[in-house]
Amino acid sequence: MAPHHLVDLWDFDPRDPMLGLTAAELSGPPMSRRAVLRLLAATGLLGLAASLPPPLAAAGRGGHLKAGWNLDQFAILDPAFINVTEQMQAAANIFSGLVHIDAALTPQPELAERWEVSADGRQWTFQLRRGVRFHDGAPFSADDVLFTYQRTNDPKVGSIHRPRLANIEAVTKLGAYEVQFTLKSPSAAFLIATLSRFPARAMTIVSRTALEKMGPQQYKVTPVGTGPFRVKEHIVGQRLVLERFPDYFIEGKPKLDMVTIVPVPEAETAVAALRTGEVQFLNNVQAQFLPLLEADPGVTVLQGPDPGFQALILNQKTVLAFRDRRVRLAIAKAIDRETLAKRGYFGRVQPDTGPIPAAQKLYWRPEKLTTSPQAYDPEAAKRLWQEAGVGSLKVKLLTSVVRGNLRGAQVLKPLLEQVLPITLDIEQVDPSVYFKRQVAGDFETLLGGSGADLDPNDSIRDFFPTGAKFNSFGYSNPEVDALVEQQFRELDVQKRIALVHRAEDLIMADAPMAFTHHLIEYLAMRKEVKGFVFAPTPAWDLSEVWLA
Amino acid sequence: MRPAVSSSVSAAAAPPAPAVSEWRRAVRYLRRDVKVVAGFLVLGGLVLTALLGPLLSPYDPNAQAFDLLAPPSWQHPLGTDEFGRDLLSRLIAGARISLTVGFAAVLLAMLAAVPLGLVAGYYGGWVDLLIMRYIDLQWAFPALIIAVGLMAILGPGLGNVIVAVALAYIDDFARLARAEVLALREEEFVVAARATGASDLRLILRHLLPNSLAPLIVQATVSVSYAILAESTLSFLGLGVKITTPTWGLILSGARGFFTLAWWLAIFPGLAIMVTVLSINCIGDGLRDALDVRVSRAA
Amino acid sequence: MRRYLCKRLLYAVLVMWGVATLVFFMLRAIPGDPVSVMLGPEATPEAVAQLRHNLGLDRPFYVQYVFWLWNLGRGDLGRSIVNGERVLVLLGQAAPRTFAIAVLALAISLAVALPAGIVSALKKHTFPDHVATVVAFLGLSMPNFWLGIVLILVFAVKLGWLPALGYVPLSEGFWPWLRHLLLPAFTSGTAFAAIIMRMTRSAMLEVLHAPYISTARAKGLRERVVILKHALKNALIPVITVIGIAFSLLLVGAVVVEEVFAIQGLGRTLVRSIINRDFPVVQGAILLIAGIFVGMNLLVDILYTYINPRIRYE
Repeated sequence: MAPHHLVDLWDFDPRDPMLGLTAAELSGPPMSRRAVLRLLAATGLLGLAASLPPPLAAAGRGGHLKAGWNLDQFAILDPAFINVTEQMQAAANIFSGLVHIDAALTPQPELAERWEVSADGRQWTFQLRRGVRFHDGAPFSADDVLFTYQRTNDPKVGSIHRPRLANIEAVTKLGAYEVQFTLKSPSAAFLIATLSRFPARAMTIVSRTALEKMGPQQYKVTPVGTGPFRVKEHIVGQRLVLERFPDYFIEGKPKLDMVTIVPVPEAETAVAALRTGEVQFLNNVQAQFLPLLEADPGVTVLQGPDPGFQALILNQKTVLAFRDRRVRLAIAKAIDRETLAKRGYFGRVQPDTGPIPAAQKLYWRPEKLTTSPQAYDPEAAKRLWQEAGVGSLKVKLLTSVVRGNLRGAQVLKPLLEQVLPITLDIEQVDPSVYFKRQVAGDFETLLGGSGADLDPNDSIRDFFPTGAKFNSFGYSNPEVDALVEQQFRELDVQKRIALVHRAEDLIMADAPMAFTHHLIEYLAMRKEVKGFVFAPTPAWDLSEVWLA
Repeated sequence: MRPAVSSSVSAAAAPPAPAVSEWRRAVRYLRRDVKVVAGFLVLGGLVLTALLGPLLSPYDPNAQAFDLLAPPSWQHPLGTDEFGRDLLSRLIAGARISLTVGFAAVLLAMLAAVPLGLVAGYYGGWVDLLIMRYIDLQWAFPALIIAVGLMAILGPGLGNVIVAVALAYIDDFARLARAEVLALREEEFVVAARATGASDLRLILRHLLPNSLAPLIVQATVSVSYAILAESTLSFLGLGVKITTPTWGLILSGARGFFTLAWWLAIFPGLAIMVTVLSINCIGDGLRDALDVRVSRAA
Repeated sequence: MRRYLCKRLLYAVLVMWGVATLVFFMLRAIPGDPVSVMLGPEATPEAVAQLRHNLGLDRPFYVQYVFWLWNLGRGDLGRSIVNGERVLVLLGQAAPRTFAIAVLALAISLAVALPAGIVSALKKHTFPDHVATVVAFLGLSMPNFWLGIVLILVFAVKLGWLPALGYVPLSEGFWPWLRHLLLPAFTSGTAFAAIIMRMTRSAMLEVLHAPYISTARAKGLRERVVILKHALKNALIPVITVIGIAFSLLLVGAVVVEEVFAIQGLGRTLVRSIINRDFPVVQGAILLIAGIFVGMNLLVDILYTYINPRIRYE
C-alpha cells in the first residue's frame, strides 16, 4: 500500500482513545474506509492490508472439496481452547462471531447485523441477526452471546482466551436480539481483538444446548456452531467431514456441498497427494517442495509473510554468562543468517535481526539485516567474546519435534560453533515437556519466537518488558520498559512508528535473543479450486469456494 | 522389531556336557558353510569399517559443507543429505554406532537375564515364582513397545538406547536360560556333582552354564541382529539416539520428507542396515545347524 | 481341561492388571504434562491449573488409580486429554485398521510362504530352494520401515499404481480399501513370510523322513497324495501354532508400518499418546495390546491340544 493512501489515517487527535474515530464512524455496518483503515492501524493489521485480494471472478457452486492439512490431528475445535493456527483455519468454517474480519481485513457483520457505539466509546450495542439457527436446529439469540461470554470468562472452564475479556465490564441483554457490551475503557481494537470470529476466539459463539448435551470434551471433537458448514463426521486423526449447512444465514452460501479435511502429518505424502489430485487443497507446504509445486501446471501456490519472529533465546536466569550483554551480542553477531536461511529453510524465510516482521508493513525496516547491532560480523563477535572474557562456554539448546525447530537447531549449531568457542548441546524433549519448560523458563537456550503478531505490541510488548507475558528468560531494561509503554499509549501512527523503532533498536542492541528470521506462509491448491482468497488472518473462509 | 522368536530356542534332547571335540566339530562344520563364511567376511568388513571409520571417511560426517540433496557423484559417491553432509561419510560413522548398540545391548541383556534364568531354574520355589512372574509380565508386551516406553522415560541418547533395547530382550534370555537349567538339573552329571558336595555357585557356573551355552549363543546372535534393527526403528520413530549422532536409523528418519526428492537418502542407509543384519543372520543360522540347536522361530 | 482354562484365564487377568498398574504409575512418574500439550504455547498458568483440576490430575496418584480402576470396571476408559475423544472410540477406530493390515499381511505371507516352503523342502538343495532361502533371509534382514519407504517410492511415486498413504474404511468400497492396505500389509508381512517359509521347509523335511511316509510310499501311493495328504498335514502342526503367536507380533509390527504409511492404527495411536503423555489413551491402548497378546498365547495353547492330542494340560 502506497503511503499516500494512508494520509487520512494520520490526521486524528492523539489523545483520543478512539483514534479520532467518532462513535458513529465505529458503528456499523458499513464502516467508512477511513474508519476501517484507522482500526487496522490501531491493531497493527494495516501492514497486512497491503495484500488486498483481487476481485472475485463470477462464481459457480457445488462440489466436494478434499483438503489436506499438514498436521497430526485436529486435536481441538472448540474456540475456547483452540491454540494453533491450523485449528482456526478449519474451525472458521464451523463457527460465526458477532463480526468477521474478511480477507480485505474489514470487519463485516456476521451474527450482529449492525452496531452502535456510545459517545464515550464504552457502550457497544449490537443488533443481532434474526432467524439464525445452530447446526442442531436451536435458534440463536442474545442468550447465546451471554452464554458464550460467561463460558469463556468462567475460570472453572479454563479457557486460554479469558484474558481477552479483561476490558469488559458487563454484557447486558437488552432484548431477544439486542446485546450491549460495557467496556472498562474505550478501545477501538475491541471489534477485532475480542469480537471477531477468528483470530479473537473469545466471543466466537458456541452452542449451549450442544455443550450441555455432549459435554465439554466431546464438544472439542464435534462442535456445533452457526457457521456455513456443520460437522458431519470427525474421526480424530483420520478425517474431518464438513457438510453444507442448509439453514446457513447467508443466502447462497456456502457454495460447496461438502469438505473433507484429512490431516496429513507427512509433508512428503501431502505433496504427493496434491499432485495426484487425491487432495485439492493443502494448508501448508514445506519449503523443500515449493520448486516442485511451483513448476506443476495443475497447482497454484499462494504465499504471504507470516507475522512473527524466530530467534535463539538466551536465558539470563539459567546461564550466568548471558547476563553479560557482550556475550549475548557476540552470539547474535556470530550467526550467519543468510546461510541459516539457505541451508535450514531452503531460502524460503526472511532473514532478519529484529522482532518486527515484514508483515507489519508500517513498522518494517528491511535495512535491519545489515545495519542492526546484531548484523552478522564474525570478527566483531570474536572481539566482544574476548572482551567479556568468558573463555569457552557449553550450553544446552532445548528442542522438541514442534515447529521444525529440531532442523533449525542442527543448522545453527555448527554456524555458531565455527565462530565462537561455544558448544550447543542439543537437548531433545517431548512436546509435553517442552511447552511446560518453555513457559517456566526452565531452559538455557531455545529456538523460539512468536506467531500471529498482528501488531508491534504482540511482537515487543508481550516479550521484552520486565516480567512480560512471555519473558521467561530474565531480560530487563527499564528504558525498554518505558519505551514499550509509551508506544502502547501513543496513538499518532508516525510517532508510534518512531517509538517502536527506538524500542526495537534497544532490544536488538541488548540481544536478549539472537533474532534469526521471519517465516513465510505457503499454501497450495489445484487449479480447479476457485474462489479461495488467501487471507492474512487465520480464518480461512471456504464458504466462497467452489470447484470448476 | 522382533519379527518373531524368543524363548523357543531349546536344545534338542539335552546334550550332555559337550566335549571339546564337539565344539571343534562345530567349527569344522561352520567352515564348510558358504553362507557362514560369507557372513563372517561381510561382518568382518563392517567391524573393520567401524574401527577405522575416520580413516576411511572421505569427509567429516558432520560437516554441512556441500549442496543440499546433491545426487551421487564422483565427489559424493552416495550423494549428500538434507543438510549438505556427505552421505557416505555418515554411513561409515553409523557403522560404529549400529554395531556398538547391537553387541552392547545383547551383552547387557545377557548379563542381566542369564543369571536370573539360571537362579530361577536352579532354585525353583518362590525365587522362581518371583522371577517368572516378572518375566511373564514383560512377556505380555511386545519388545518394541517396551523399548518405546523406556525411551520416553530415559530420553534420547546412545546409552539409553542400549539400556532400553537390553531391557526389552531380558525375558528372552531369562526364559531360555531357565528352560536349559530345568532340563539339565536332573541330568546325571549334575546330580553326581551335587552328590560330591559341590556348592550351588560352582554347580551353576561350572556345570549348568557351560552346558546351556550353545542355545544361548545362537539366541544371542539372533538378538544382535534384532537389536540393530531395534535401534534403527527407535531412531526412525524419533525415540532413539540424539539427533546429532549419525546412526543408520536416524539418517533414514532425518531423510523423511526428502525421499521423493532424493532417493539416495532412502536407499543407502536401509541397504547398510540390511547387509549388516543379513550377515549376522547368516552366521546365526550356521551356528544353529553346527551346534545342533533346534530353533522354532516365532513363539 | 476346564480347570486348566479357568486357571489360565485368571492368570491372564492378573497379568493384565499388573501391566495396567505398572503403566499407570510409570506414566505419572515421568516428566511431561498432557495439559500443557492440549493448551499449547498460549496457556496461562491459571488455565493449566484449572484444567488439571477439572481432569482430576491434581489428585494423589492412588486416588486417580482407584477412580481409573473403578471406571475400568464399568467399561469406561475415559477420554483423551489432548483431543477430548472417548478412548473407546479412538481405539475402536484404530484397532480395525491394525487388524486389517495384520490379517492381510498374514494372508499374503501364507499365500507366498507355504508353497515356497513346501517346494523348497521337496527340491532341497536345488536352485529354487536356494532362491527361496536367499529371499527369506533378505526378508528377515530388512527393517520393515525401510521396505515400506522403498515400496512407496516404487509403487506410489514412480509407478503411481497405489496410493502412498492413508486408510479408507471398507464402507467406501472394497477396492479403495484394499488399494490402501496392500503396501502396508506387504511391508509388515515380509519378515513374517520369511519365518513361515523357513518353518514350513524344516517341518516338511522332518516329516518327509518319517517312517510313515516311507510306508505310504511303499504302499504305492502317488507322490502327490503322499505329500499333500500325509506329509503336509503333519508338517503344518508346528506351523499353525507359530501363525497364532506371530499374529500378535504382526499387530505390534504395525507400530512402525503405520508410522510410515500415516495410518492412525493402534501402534501409531500408542506412540503418539506416549509422546503427548495422553494418560487415558496410553492406558487403554496398552491394556488392549496386552490383552491381545495374552489372549493369543492362551488361544494357541488351547489350539495346540486339539491339533496335537498327545499334549494334555493339567
